[in-house]
Amino acid sequence: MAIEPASELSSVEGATGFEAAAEREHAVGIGPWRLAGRRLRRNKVALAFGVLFLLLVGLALAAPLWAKDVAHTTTSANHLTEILHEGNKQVYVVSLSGVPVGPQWFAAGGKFFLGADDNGRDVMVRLLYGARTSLEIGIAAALITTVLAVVVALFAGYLRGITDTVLSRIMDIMWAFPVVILGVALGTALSIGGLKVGPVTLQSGSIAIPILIIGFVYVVYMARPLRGQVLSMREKEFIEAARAQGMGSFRIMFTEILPNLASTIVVFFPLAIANAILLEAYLSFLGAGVQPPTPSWGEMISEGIDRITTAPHLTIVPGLMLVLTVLALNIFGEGVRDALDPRSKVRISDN
Amino acid sequence: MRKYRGPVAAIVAVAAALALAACGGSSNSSSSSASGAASASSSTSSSSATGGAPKSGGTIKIGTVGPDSYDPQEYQTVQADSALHLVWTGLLAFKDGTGQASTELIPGLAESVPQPTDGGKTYVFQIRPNLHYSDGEPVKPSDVVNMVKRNLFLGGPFSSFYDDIVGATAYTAAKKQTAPLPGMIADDASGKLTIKLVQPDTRVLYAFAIGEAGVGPASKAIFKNTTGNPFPGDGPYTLKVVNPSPTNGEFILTKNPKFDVPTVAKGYLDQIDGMVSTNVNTMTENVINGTYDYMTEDPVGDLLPQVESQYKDRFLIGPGYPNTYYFFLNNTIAPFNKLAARQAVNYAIDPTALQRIFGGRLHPTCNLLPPGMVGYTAISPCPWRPNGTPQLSKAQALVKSAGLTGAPVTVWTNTKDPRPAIGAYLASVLNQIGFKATIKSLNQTVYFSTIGDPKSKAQIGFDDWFQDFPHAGDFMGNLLTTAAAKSIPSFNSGFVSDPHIDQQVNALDAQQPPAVASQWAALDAYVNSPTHAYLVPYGNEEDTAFYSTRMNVTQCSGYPNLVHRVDWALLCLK
Amino acid sequence: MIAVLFAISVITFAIFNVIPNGDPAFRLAGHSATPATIATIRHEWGFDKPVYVQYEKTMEKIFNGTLISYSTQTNVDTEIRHDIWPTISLAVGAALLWMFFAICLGMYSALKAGKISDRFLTALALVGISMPVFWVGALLSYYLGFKAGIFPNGGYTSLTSNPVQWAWHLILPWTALSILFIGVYSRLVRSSILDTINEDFVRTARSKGLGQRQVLLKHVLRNSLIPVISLWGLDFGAIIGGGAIVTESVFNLGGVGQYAANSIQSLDVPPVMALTIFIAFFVVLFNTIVDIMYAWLDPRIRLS
Repeated sequence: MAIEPASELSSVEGATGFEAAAEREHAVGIGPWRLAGRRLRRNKVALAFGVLFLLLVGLALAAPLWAKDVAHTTTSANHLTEILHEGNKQVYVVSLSGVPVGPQWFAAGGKFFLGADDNGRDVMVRLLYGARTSLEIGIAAALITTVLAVVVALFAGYLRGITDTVLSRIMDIMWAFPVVILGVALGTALSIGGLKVGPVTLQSGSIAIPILIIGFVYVVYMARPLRGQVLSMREKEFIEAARAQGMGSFRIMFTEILPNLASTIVVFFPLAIANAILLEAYLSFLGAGVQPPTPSWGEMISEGIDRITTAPHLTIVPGLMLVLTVLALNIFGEGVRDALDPRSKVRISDN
Repeated sequence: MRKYRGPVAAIVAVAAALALAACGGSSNSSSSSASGAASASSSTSSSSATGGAPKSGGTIKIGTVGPDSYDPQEYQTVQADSALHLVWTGLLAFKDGTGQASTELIPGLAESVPQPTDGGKTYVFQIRPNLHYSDGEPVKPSDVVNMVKRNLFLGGPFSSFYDDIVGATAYTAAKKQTAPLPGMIADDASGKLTIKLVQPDTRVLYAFAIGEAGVGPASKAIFKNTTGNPFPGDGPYTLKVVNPSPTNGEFILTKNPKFDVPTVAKGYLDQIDGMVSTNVNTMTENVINGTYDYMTEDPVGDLLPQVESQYKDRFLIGPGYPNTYYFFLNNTIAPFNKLAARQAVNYAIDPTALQRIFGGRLHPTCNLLPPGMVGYTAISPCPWRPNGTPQLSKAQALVKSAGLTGAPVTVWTNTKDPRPAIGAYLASVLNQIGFKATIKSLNQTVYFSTIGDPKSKAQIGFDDWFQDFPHAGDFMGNLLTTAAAKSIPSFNSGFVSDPHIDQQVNALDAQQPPAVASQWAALDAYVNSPTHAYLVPYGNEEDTAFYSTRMNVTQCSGYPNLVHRVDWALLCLK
Repeated sequence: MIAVLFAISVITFAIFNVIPNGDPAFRLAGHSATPATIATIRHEWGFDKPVYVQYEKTMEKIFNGTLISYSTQTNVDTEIRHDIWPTISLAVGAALLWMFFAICLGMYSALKAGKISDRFLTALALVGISMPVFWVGALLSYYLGFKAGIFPNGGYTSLTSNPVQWAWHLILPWTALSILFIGVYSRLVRSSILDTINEDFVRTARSKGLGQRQVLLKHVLRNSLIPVISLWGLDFGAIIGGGAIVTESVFNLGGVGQYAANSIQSLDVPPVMALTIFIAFFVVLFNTIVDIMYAWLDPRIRLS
C-alpha cells in the first residue's frame, strides 16, 4: 500500500506518467527496438515535435551569435537611458516612469527584437540565454534523476530485505513532501549560503544548486515504478538461471535487469526533462531557483507580471517559449511511448 | 535604521492591477518624474486661508501593511510609527506639522527641552504635573525610567540608542529586570527626572522623542512583549488590536478623552481604522473607489503611473521621509581601497537611469544627507556630474590608470524589489568602465547582517538608510565612523575609518543640530568630495500619499512629515 | 503515518537551521544589533539552546497552538485557521471542475481512440500539462479581466459574507488550476478506460448481451475510475494542505499555500514548520481515505 504524493506539479506527468509507462511490457518478435523505431518514424506528429525541440536547442546554442551580431549587447547590459531612432521617431528604451519599450522586430536593426525589460535589457537575448539555462538544468537534472532512480530501484527491488525497507521508507517520506514546497524550501535555503558537502563547495549563485535540487526531488517518482518492475522481473526464469550460474547480485542487477529496464527509461527520459524544465520555472518564479543575473524564463515571467498592462510582452514571450519547449518534449515523449508499446492504439470495436 | 516595510514577496497580484487599468484611460502616459513635491506645505498648523478651519470628527479607514509589532518598544518600521506614535507620548516629541517644521524637538511629557549641564552630560527634566494615561493612572518620572529599562531588557530594535546613559550597558548585561540603572534618577514626588550620559550626545534627546520611546504606566508596561494587548499611554488616541494578523488584520485608534499633553496635536478624526493586508494593489484600488481613505504604501508596478496621471488631485509625490540610497564601497579591500576606483564608480553612475528603475520616484543626489535633514545643503555643482550627465570616459581612464582593468568585482544586492534591478544596473556600469563584475544576490532578510560582517568581504553593493530621527548624526555616525565599523554587524558597510570624520561626529553630536547645521553640511561635502569619495550616493526615494475623495487634501494632508511620513493627527475630512 | 510526519518535520527543521547565515536573532534585533541585544534576543526566543531542544520546543508549540512567527510575531495557528478557507474553496471548486471535465473528455477520447478527435484531445491535454499555472493565471487575468473586463481582480471574498462574489472571485483561479489537472486526468481516464475494456469481467458483461453504452457506463467507467480516484485523492489532499502555492500567490487568495510561500521566502521558520506538517498530514490522510475507498470500489478486492 503505497503512499503516493501529489501537488499541482507532481501530477504533471510525474506520478501518473511514469507509473503508466512502467506497466507496459515489450512487444516480442523482431527486435523490440527496431519495431519501436519503425513505429516512431510513422508517427509524423511526434517526429515533428522532436524536430521542434532540436530547433529550440539550436536556438539556445545560437544565443551568443544573436547577442553579438544582431543585438549588439549582452544579457545584463542595461540600456536604461538609451534612445532608439526609428525613422523619424525617437523612443526611450525605458521611459522616465520606468515603462520599457515593446517588441521592435527589425525596426531598430535587430536590437530589442522582442522589446526591453524594465532594466533596459534586450528581451530576445535574455530569452535565448534563458533557453540555455532551462535546457542545461532540464537535461542535467533529468540525468541525475534517472541515474539515482535506477540505482535506488535496483537496490531496493532486487536486494530486498533491509535495503528495501530503508529505501522504501525514505521514498515514502519524500513522497508526502509536495514537490514545489520541498523545492522552494531547499532552493531558498541553499541560495543563501550555498552548499558545502565534504570537500565540495557550491557557491550560492551556482546553477548546480537548482540542478541538484530538481534532480533529487523527482527521484522517487521514477524510482517507485522502476522498483515495481524490478520486483516482477526478479521472479522471472532468466534471473533464476543467472543466479544458478553463480552470478553475483551486482552483476545480475546491472547486466541482466538493467537492460530490461531500458525501454521504460527511454520513455521516462523526455518526460523527466520536461518536468525538470517546468519545475525550474516554478522555482525561479518563486525566487528559489536560478539566481539573478542568470536569465531564466521563470524569473522573466515573474518580473513581467508586475508590468503586465503596460508591457505584456514581458510575460507572454518567455511563457510561450517555455510552453513550446515543454510541449515539444511531452509530445515527442508520447510518441516514444506509443512506439514502444502498441497497446495504446487499441480501439473499441463497434458492434 | 528605520525600515520601510514593503510588500513581502516578489509575487504581486496581477488582477488588481488589471481591473484598475480597465477603469481608466490610456495606460501609457509617461508622467514626468515629480521632483517638485505637490502641495507639500510647510505650515505647521491647520487653519488655512481657504475654507476656514479643518473639520473635526469622522472615521476613516487606512490601508497599510501594518505595524511589525504593536508593542511600543518592539516596533521598527515607519508604518508602525505612523500609527503608534499617536498612542504613547514620550518624554519629548516632534512637532506635529509638515515639511521642515516636523523635525523640531518639542517637550512631550516633560515641561520643556532642557539645556544640558556638566559639559553636556547631564539633562534635568521636569515632568508636567497632573498628566494621566488613558486608564486614569498618573504619569510619573519613574515610568520613563521603566521605559528605558524595558527597552534594554527586551533588546528592542532601538535600545542601543540609550547605550550612552550611564550604566545602560551594565544593565543589559545583568539580564535582571530590577537591576539598577544609575544614569536615570527619578524623583516621583517632585516630578524631576535626571539623565546622566557617559559622553555629551544630543542624539539621546532625540531617542526620547521617537515613538519607540513611548511611555506607559510602570505597573502595566511589563517586561514582556505585549503585542495584541497594548498597555495604556498618554497619547491623542487609544489603541485596540482587533486582529494582529499581517494578511488581514485590523487595529482601531479611537480618540483618547483623557489626553492632556498640551504640546502634542489632539487630532481631528474621531477614529482611524487600520486595515492590514499585504496586497498593495488591492489597497490602491480601495483608495480609488473610496473603500479606504488613505494608504501608507506606495502604488507599485503598473499602478504608479496610472494613479499619478488619473488622480492628480488626491495623489502627492515628492521627497518625503528622509532616506538615501547609495552603493557602499568597501574601503578596506581591493579594489575600492584605491581612491581612483572609488572616484571612477562615482563618475560612472547615472541617477537618471536609476530613476527609471524606481518608476520615476527618485530624487537624484550627490549628498549622503537627505533633503529635509537639518544640515543638508545640496552639493552643487555635483563634482561627478557637473552638467548632469555621468562621465564614463573619465571613469574608464581612472580604472585604467589604477591598473584595475579586468579586476573581478562582486556586486552585492538583495531580492527585495527593485534591488535586483539596481544591482544589475551597477554590475553593468562596472563592466562598462573596465571591471569584471558579477552579482551576488541574497535574501533580503539576511542581507544587511551579511554585508555588515567584515568576514563576508563584500566589495560593493546596494545600501540604503532611512533616518531613525531627524539628526544628521544618525546618518554620519552609523554609516561612517570607526566605532560603527567595529560593531558586528555594522551599518558602516564600507568599513570607512577616518579620524577626521570620527572627531567631527563626536564634536557635532554634542550640539543641537540647528546650531551646527553648516558644519554637518561641510562634513557631508567632505565625505562625497573627489578627495575621499567614501561611498556612492545616487538618490532619495520619493514618498507618495494617496487619499480618497473624502479626505481634505489641501488643508489636512499631514504630508510630508519628516518623522512619521504622514502625520495622522493632521488628517481631516472634507 | 506518524513516522512520516515526524521525519518530514525533522527534515524541514534541518533545512532551515543548519544552513548558515540564517540567524533570526540579527533580524529581530533590527537596528540595535549590538552583541548584548542579540544575546538578549537569543535567550528570549531560545536560540541559545541546542538544536534538538529548539526542535522539540517548536514541535510542542505547534501542537499546543502557541507557535509565534519570527517576522510578524503573530500566532501561526490562528493565521492558518484563517487561511484555510480560501484554500479549501480553491481545492473543492477546482477538484469538482477538473474531475467533471476530465471524465467527460477522457471518456470521449477513449470511445474515439485512434481517431482524429482523440488525437486532438490528447494534444490539448498535453498543452494543458505544459503550461505553468502562474503563467496561465496571469494571462487569464489579463485577457479576461483587463481586456474583456468580465472578471474581478484577485483576492478572496469569504463565502459567508457574499456567496456570489466568492464564486466570482474564484472562477479564474479554478480555471487556471484545473487546466493543468484536466490535462493529466483526462489522459488517465482515457488510458484507464482502454485498459479496463479488455478485462474479463467486461467481456462477460457483453456476452450477457448488454449494449455497449450500458457496458460502458455501468461496468467500465466504474472500474476504470478506481485508479483515477486514488490519484485524485492525493492531489486534492495536497492542494488542501497548501500545495497550490503558485495559484494562490498569483491570484492573492490569502490561503495556506501563499502563507507557506511568503514564510519560506522570509525565512520565517515557525510557520514553515507548521505548514509543512500540515500539508504532509493532509496528503497522508487522503491517501489513507483513498486506499480504503479503493478497496471498497474494486469488486475483486471486495469479494476476496
